[in-house]
Amino acid sequence: MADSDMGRSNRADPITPLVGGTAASARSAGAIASVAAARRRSKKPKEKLPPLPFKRWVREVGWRHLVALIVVFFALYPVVWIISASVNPVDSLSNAKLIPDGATLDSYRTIFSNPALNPFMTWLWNSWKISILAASFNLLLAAMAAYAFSRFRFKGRRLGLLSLLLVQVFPQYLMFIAIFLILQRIGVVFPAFGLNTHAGLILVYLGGAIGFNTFLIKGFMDSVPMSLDEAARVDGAGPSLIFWRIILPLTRPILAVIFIITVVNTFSEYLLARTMLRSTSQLTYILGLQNYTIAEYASKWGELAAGAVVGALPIVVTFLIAQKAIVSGLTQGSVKG
Amino acid sequence: MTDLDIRQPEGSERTDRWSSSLGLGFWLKMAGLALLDALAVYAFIVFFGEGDWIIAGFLAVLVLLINWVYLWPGTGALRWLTPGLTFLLVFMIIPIIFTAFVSVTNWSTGHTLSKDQAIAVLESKPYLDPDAAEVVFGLAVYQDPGTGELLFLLVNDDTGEIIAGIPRPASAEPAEDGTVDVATYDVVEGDDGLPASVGPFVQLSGARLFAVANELKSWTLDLPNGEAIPIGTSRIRVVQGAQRFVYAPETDTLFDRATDQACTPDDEGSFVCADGSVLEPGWRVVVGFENYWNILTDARIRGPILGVLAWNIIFALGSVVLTFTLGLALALTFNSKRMRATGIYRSIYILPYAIPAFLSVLIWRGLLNEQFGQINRLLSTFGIDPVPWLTNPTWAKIALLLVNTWLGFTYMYLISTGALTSIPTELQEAARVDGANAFQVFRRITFPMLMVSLAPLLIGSFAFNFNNFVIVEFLTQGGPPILDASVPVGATDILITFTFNIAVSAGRGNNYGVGTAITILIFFILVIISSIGFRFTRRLEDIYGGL
Repeated sequence: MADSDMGRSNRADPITPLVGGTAASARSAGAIASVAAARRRSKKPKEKLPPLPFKRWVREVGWRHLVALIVVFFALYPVVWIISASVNPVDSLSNAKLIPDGATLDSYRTIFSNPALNPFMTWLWNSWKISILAASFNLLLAAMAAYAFSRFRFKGRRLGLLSLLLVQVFPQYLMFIAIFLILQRIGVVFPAFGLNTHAGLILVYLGGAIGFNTFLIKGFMDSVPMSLDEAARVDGAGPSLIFWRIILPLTRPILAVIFIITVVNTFSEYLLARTMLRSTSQLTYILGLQNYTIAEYASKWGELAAGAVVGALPIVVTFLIAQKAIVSGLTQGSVKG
Repeated sequence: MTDLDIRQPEGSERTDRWSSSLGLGFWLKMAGLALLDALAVYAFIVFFGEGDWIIAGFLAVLVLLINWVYLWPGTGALRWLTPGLTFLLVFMIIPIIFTAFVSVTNWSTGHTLSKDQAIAVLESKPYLDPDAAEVVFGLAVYQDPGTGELLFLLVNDDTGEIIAGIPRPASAEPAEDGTVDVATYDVVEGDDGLPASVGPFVQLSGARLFAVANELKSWTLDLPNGEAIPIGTSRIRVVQGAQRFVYAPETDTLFDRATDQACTPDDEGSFVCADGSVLEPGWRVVVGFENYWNILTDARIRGPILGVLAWNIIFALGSVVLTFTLGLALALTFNSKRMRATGIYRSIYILPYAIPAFLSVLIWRGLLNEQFGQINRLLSTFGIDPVPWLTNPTWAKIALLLVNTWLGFTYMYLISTGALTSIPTELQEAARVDGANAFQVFRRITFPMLMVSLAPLLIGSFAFNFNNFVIVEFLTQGGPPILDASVPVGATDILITFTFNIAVSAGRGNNYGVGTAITILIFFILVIISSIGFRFTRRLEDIYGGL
């Protein structure tokens, strides 16, 4: 059956057939690739090689470390300076010393206090709320659709999969004008879901839920043996039970990756949020910081730097932790029996 | 067991319905469906009542379909697809179609209403009918000594009725209603039956009244249905307002009673009067391909847009080439059995990838500041003069590419490493045995094999960077601006930022029609990129697929 062939080719390598223009696709694919690479690497432990004489070591290995260190400098340069600026008692971006004289946490104190003057925390809270809610619903919708494509055989299945791919060519944010006008209309009837509401923005984000993520999850679900479903069915379980109790737990690693990526992408989404949200108290972090930058750039560099550190920290930590957690989830969580 | 084929879930769906139809899940589903239906009925009534047949009809069909899916037996897969598909339809497919529709209209500031709404707005506009009977009131003038602000108190001589209000200069835009309620102020009664002061306003009399007498006539007080104009220091003439425009549906004309002329609708969605004046607001009309035509032929738009398009392609291509070169070089550097500490390096390299791009771009903007930025400070230690990173058109472009390289090399490094580890090493070793040097092996064997799996991702990356709004908006905001351009455009604007400025940027009005027309052009470019992507992938697979 042609349909099942398609499933299998996706399983072999879920990322190759996809040419998408969305940030989600680029980022997810990267994460999957890195996970896959890490998995391969962790499977074969480094072989013990005899030590080289120093000159040969420099020629064969040393230069590699040199290149790596130059790139480390490149990668860390802005990160280090932003931390430096955030503890600088003088609100200035020119700072001769890496560790400024009289380093202080005042900038952090400012952004954590006084929400009326510097609503950093309001914006951050808005962003996390919207990102996590949108990503959760997103994941649920994508997983449900993936389940349908992976476990059901129906007319138009192949066409459906193909159309999903084609729609992905147009990233949703390109339609910001049309979405703005539609939301304006919805707001007339349901003000709670109209412009300048978080609920409306979350609904809009769900428009992109099924698409690339559905493919990744479907590829993963295809690798869960059908015999598990069958056994459960013999025991009297229906599709819902199989979905919640068998398929979802077994696809947890990929769901975790996609959840993290979706949260980060939603956190950084600009165009749709900009066209929807207006009042200062409703803004997301990205919009709030931009407004702050325009209004206060020259004078409040320290607070902006602290704001960047506070905004980035949870995500960076998650990335660093998830790197390992997901790899181990992938290597150990393979289906048993 | 094999007879009960696992690929027949429809059969099992039936069992499920019977076995779990009274479970918690069932009731949750029913409650959700009931809520959805209730909201839908309400929305339907509202839209139907407003005469919005298209939305009402669409809503009805959609909700009936959803009900069918969840109430009818045997809809199997659709039950799992419907939630996602509904959102895809409402916030993805319809916006695509709607974008195409808006692009053939003149939808913009001044043309946001339907024709009926525009007529209603025009018909509600008042004017001062010179023939209407006028009433003369007694006038008392008050002034706030602190601010100099005036307050008029109108006294009807016959009835004793009092109207208070804050006037505006006669040359200013008419206000809706300038009256105020005296009761909201602390009123101090005076000798002549009128208040001596109303809140901060003190009655003017004698010399102080004469001081303002000459300018009194330049003030007007807006009443809810007319205007009050001073005709001296103690009298004021009240003129009744009247409906200015009257619409005659049978002739589709609007009669202007103030100037006694008929105004007829034109093709552009406005009423044009006999003397050539155009009435505001207009309404939205379908103008066909005029927006596209303007983009392609109007030199004032075409010139900037071609520049933007050229830079857009250079930016996307340059970003992919630079990030991929660095990422692949790094992956090759690490591709050695003797290389140690790769995990630590990777954890550092993941930072630019993990930090949300808008935060790091804001940081870069500070670092690249010409006067105070750390980059120029670093360069000055090598004796290099300050570089105008964000203010010079060429340097701003270089800065964008530099920052985008920083943002993107990690992704390329990760996917290159993944692809490198997955290609077999036998061929490379065989080539080395045959005398090929390291570069030849890379050029002839490793690189082509890498491209089989990476080419689609590179094209995806190109498509992503083609619309990389955030980096441009946060680093340069499209600037530095091109000053002699007729449309607001900057040296580093890409199509999407350009569109955004035209469509929603504050201050210059919104032109949704032209904005969506450019969006459709972007759609076409994306379709071309993607189809090249698909074809390119297939060709590479034909050539190297057998390896």
